[in-house]
Amino acid sequence: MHKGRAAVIWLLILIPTILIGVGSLVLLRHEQERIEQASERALYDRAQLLVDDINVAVSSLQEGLLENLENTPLKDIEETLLQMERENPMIRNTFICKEDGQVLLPVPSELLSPEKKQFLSRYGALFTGRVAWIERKEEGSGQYATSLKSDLILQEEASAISQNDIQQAQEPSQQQQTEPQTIAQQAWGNARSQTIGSISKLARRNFNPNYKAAGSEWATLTGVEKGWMPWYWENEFYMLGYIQALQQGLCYGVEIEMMALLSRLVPALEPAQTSEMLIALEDKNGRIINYVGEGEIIADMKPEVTIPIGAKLPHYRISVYSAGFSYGGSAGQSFMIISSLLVGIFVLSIITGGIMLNAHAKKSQQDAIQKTSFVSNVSHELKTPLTTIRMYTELLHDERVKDPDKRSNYLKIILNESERLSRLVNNVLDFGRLEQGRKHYELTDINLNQLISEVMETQYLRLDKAGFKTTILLPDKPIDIQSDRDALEQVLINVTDNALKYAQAGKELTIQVTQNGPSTLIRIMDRGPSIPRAHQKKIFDKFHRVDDSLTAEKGGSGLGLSIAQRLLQDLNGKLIFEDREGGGAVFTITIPGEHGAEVT
Amino acid sequence: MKTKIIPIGLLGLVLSGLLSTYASNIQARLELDRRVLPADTQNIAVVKITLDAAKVPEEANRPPVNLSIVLDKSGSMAGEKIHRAREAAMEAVRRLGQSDLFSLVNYDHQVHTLIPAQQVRQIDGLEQKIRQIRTGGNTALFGGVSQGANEIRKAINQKKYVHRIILLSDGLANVGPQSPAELGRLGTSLIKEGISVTSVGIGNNYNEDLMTRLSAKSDGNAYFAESAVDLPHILSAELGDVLNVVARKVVITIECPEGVRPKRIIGREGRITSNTVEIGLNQLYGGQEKYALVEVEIDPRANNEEIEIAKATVQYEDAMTAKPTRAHALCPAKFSDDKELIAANCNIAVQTEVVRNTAAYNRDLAITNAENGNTIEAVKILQENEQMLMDWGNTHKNGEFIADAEEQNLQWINLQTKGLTKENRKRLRTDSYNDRYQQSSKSKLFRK
Repeated sequence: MHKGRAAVIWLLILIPTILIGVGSLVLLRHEQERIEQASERALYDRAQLLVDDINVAVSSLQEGLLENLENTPLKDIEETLLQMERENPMIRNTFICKEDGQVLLPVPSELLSPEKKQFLSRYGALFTGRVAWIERKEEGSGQYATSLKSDLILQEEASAISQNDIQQAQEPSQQQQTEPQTIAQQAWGNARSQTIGSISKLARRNFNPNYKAAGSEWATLTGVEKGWMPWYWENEFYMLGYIQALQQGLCYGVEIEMMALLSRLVPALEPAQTSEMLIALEDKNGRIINYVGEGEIIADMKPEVTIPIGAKLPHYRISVYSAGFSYGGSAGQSFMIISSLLVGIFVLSIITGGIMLNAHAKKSQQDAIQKTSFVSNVSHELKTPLTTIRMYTELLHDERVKDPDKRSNYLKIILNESERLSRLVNNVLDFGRLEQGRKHYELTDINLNQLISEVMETQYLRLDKAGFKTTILLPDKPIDIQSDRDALEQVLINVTDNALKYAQAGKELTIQVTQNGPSTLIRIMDRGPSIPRAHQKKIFDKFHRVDDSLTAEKGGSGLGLSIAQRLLQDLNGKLIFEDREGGGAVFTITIPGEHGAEVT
Repeated sequence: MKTKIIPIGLLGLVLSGLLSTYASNIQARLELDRRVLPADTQNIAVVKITLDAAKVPEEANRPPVNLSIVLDKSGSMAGEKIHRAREAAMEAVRRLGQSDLFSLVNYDHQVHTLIPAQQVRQIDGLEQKIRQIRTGGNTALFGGVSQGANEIRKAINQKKYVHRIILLSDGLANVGPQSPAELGRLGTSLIKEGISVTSVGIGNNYNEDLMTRLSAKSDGNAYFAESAVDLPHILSAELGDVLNVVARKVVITIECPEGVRPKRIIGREGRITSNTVEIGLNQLYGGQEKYALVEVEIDPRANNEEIEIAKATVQYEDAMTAKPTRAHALCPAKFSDDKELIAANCNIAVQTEVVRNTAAYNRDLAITNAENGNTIEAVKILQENEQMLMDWGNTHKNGEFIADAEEQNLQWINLQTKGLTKENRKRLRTDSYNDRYQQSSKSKLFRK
């Protein structure tokens, strides 16, 4: 019945606790995902913003360069190209080639510098017409080319792409330009717009307004194709802008100085305002060009967000890394850790509270059982002497016993039993006082030897009758202590009583008094069966009896030793139990010396 | 474009004739390695064009400088090096005047603009900032130079300035583009904007290829400071150069008549077409002489014929007035079958330069060979170099060449016994760089 109720209580505590715990963890996980998504979104927006800016800058550079070329009459084109190459820092090489694959600029010859020779071999496939002159389409800036396709495949794809596709590919970047600027974008400051301004200015550097008239005339010519070719050669990325004058069968254009372009993008990277975020410009292979933010990007670090710059600069991308302690755990994860910790503490405290309440209840229950058994014990204890007293008193009262010796004997029995009764009542009273902390002590000067002799005198008859051979070993020198006389008497009687009850078989009781420094030790030794090991620790607990059944051979309340120990503790002394060598038990009473008991 | 240039060119010709007494800061001179060439045979000759810059009078107003110091503060710079580098930067600030612009960019794994481009007014404040530079981290050289260039660009359109980046580093670049080729391209691009990068390598661990390439392509100086103690002196010498610029955006164009074809440019880089050679130099310092050597092929000519082998036009921007200016030179040659006359008219000075440049080219070749593990070939090249220099030195009683030959001897012995040590390599490389580009003669002071 009790167990069943405990189980129900446990279930009532555990089930809601577990439900709350699991429920909050699930909610927390959702919240974590939400936070992570939000911070990832923020990172993404930030990177996207930068990508948009770079796209604007690069496309205005590209458009400006081609516009400049478009506005130049064909007859001046060589001169203009050479001048651009000489003066424009964003241009690495320039070229003119014919439809039939003949290269007019730079003229292939032994005199060419290594750079020019390399340039010709780099674009050999293009100049000789093996690869078509169509702007190669890369995925838009939103999606990233996940795998680096080989040149050949790209070239094949390129041939299949129509002019319409090219225009479509250019459209997204136009949209990006017109997108409304967010507040965050403004935070990027002026430095970036300066950089971008300077790049686009470079594109128009060679633009000469004198040619506008000629340019418009040129623009009316039909059959002009232009575009930008991303080009991979020996694992390096290049960009070539070209104009095809179909009627004249000419193709000419410029190669971008990639290092100059990248160098111009370096100042465009501005450190994030919130730290612990590193923004990097890197190429497709993850090689970092430059990065900003508080902290350092180390090997093995994985970017949180990666956005390709897109069609305008297909080989490059912007990556955002998270730095500092939160690396390996984003904002969401740290939130999760802290929240889980709180939930854990909550669950743990409920369970701990439950356990403590349960333990307390169990203890109260045990106390109640012990008290019940105590009451039965005490009643039984009281009843035995009372019965004896009543029986002998009745006999005497009825005057049925004529023999004076017998009468005297009966009276002695009545006396003994009433003494036993009063000891019992004393114990119960003392116990009550001790329990409630109402026990008062009266300290007096005591000659301990005398006290022991007197107490043992009163007990002598009982011991003798029970067959004990009692020895009292007292030191020669009198021992003077200050303590409560009644309490000490009670202790001695209780311990002796204990021996009387349980060590009768040994027939021996020795009381030895020794001085140990300032303290005095009183050893009460018997040759009884001693105390089973399992009970040794509990013998001083209240109500504890080695044999607790009502039918126990010996009566008792289970209070004697408990009271003795508590009295001694109150008097700053102690009572301990040890096994006696050669069998039996030793109870040692320690009484403090001169500094004696200080009792309130 | 063409239409615009021609009138200016014509005007320039007329003006230079009229105002030659005080117009040009630069004198151009063309010489042949032999004043008299053998007649009736195909000749290979070397044309030397020399540019002499007039010394700036001390009282004259020098052109203002737009200087950006790019300072490596990576972990390896800790201790004496950063201390000296800071001192060097402060020395630079002290030497600038109120009309000059100064900026300082420092970098570890990231780039920070410590001092944005500004006029040098409060020297104390700038020095205070420089003193606070602390070391740590990796080396983002590309980003550092890019940011430095960005600071320079704030005043790039003001023609009065001499634009210069001084890069102080002791390490390899390990963040961002880091190959000599890539940095070289950056240099090529910067020079088009008129920005030169002078590199100062500190200690024995820097990547001299990377730094000298960046400097060479942007026509800056390259220094190798073996110990940090040299730094303030180098900075001071470099600033002496920068503060002394008399001409910017110098472009030499050599035109050859029919029957004369340029074959190659010795030592420098440039553009050759069938009859023209174009060589760009960035800037010329006062009192400095720079030259270029061009090998030409000359078709057979008759005995006693005299022709102009080449016509040189030097276009530049006068640093003082910020105006485009020109200088011209012609190169006459005589053909003869008189062998004695030919021998007597050898131009030792030009031939000396050819030998010097050939030796420099060979040194670079030796490094390349040694790097590719071909030590034997490298040693052989250096031995031949030694022989060539020694022969030339002995024949023409030229002590400098004998000393160079001895140095070369030391280097190939070193190479043979120790392999290509860092120090050895730096010495070879900086030597050849300075020989080929005739950079500041002062820089040699610091190459022990």
